[in-house]
Amino acid sequence: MILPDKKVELFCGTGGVGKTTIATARALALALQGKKVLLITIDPAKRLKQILKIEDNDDGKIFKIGLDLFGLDKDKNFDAMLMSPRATLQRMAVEKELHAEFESTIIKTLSRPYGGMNEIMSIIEVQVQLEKNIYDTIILDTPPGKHFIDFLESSEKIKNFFDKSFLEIFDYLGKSISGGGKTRNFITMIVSTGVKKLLSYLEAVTGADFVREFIDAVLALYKCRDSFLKALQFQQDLKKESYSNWFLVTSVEQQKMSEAQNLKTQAAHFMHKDHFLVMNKCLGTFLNEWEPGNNDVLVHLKRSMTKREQDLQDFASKNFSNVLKFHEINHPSPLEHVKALAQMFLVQPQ
Amino acid sequence: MGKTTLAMAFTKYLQKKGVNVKYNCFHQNPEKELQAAIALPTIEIDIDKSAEIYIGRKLNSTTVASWIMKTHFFKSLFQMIPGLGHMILFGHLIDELEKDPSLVVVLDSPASGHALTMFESTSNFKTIFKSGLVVKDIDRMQNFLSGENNLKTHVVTLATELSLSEALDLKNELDNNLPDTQAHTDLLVNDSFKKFFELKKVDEKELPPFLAQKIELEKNIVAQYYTLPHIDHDDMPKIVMDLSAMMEGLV
Repeated sequence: MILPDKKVELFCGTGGVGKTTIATARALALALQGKKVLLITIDPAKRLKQILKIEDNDDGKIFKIGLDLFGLDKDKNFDAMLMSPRATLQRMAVEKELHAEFESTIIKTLSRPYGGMNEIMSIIEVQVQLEKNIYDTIILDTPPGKHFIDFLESSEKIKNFFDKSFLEIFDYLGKSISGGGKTRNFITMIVSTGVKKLLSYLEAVTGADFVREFIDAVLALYKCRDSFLKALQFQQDLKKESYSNWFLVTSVEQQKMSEAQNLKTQAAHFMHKDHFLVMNKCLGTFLNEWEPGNNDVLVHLKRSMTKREQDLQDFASKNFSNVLKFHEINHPSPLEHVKALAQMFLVQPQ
Repeated sequence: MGKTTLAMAFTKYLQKKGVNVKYNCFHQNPEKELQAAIALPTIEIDIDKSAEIYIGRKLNSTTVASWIMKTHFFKSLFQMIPGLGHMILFGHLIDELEKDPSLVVVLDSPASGHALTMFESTSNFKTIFKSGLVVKDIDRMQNFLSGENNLKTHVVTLATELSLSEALDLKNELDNNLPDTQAHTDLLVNDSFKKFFELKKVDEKELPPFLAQKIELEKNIVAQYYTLPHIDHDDMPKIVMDLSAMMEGLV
């Protein structure tokens, strides 16, 4: 099996299968090979923070993680970042000189860590980091399950958001994306009947103040739309085999086969066919060496654990052409987990 | 973690006790086959439909609400601000609970970071909307959530330090950062080998090194929190039913 070097690597899977640990191990393995790596976690659970001991208020910053943290070569390192929608928006505000507009309560509230805009803003952030062109590989630790699909669907959502629907409203209100007021033309007058109706209904439910603030917040985002629309390219690039490695992580410990299959089916539209299934927490080596003797409970336990692993192996062989197996690490330290898994990445058949 | 399995098991446990209970998977992919296999009572709410009903009530017109929901403006708004859908769905569930005081909903919540998005949605949108009809509804939701015995949150973790640390972080966020909901949270450890061997009365000396190491790492965690054992077979409906028989300590 070949693990080719790619510009972007995505680690996805359902909750609790070890995505973040495996993604961090991959970053460590590449850094050990001398590659320049950026690891970004998009999952607001931020398990990466616990593994790499990053502080809460450091969201959105890039950190240099020296490999001495793992007791390895202190001259080598990789970069890591906890996704922060607010930091991404603030950078846009600086670039576009839209400080006042981005102080809107609506924008500030929705870009809070758990405001719900993590997936949408992540795609912008990744594109910005790609454009810097300083990394050999950017590794993405993605949110679990359905939220990973939300991340993949971000570009479609962005495209829909920046189509004509809001432009008609701006026209109706005499607001211009490029600044200053705008004169209404004849077409605008016709369209405005529908817009007027929509806004009046919206005002009836939410109040006029909200509608005014909301339109201003959307206008501020529209003024940055080139940054949003640029990110659409990232989604296109992800489909290229030469550009991305996709790792669908599952775990022997949990019965996640149907969920892994669902995720693969749902993500199929977005990814290329040359992807990997990562079987995490495999126990095969230990189970093969274990002689449970005459204890019925242990005999039954060995049988059920072996069957569980065999079922996953059969599922993997049937549905995935590339399978990577990582055995269970029994150690209290997350750093030791990452280190041991990184070694397994390095010895996977190349 | 086994969140979905435990949420289903808890639903079955309550059902067996005669409670009027329904399971909701909160806009995640429902495991229909498993639900059918264990005859799980469910309450299914579609976010778009829920929003349409809500707007229809506010405007006294289902036709207008249906038109609004079909506009591109609203569709893209819902897509860009997923928290809005969360809040409406949450509100709909609370409506159902208020309509029928005997009803208990077991909510299979999104994973940790997204669970916080769900719980924060009410206070976030209260900040955004400031006043008016919607805020009155948000106040009603928050009053309900903070009401005596209305909400109990079980944070599920595996018996490992890393998983526990993330679970404690989540519990901390729920306890301290969401005062409006005054969430009553506890921790629930799932899939413990230590617990399994205790229940099966297996002498630890008989265990192979990999299992001995595993339970050594679990010891401190299991001693502190309510723990469910590893289940040693692969039949999912049976796993759910086995776990449902062990839920007494959660109530």
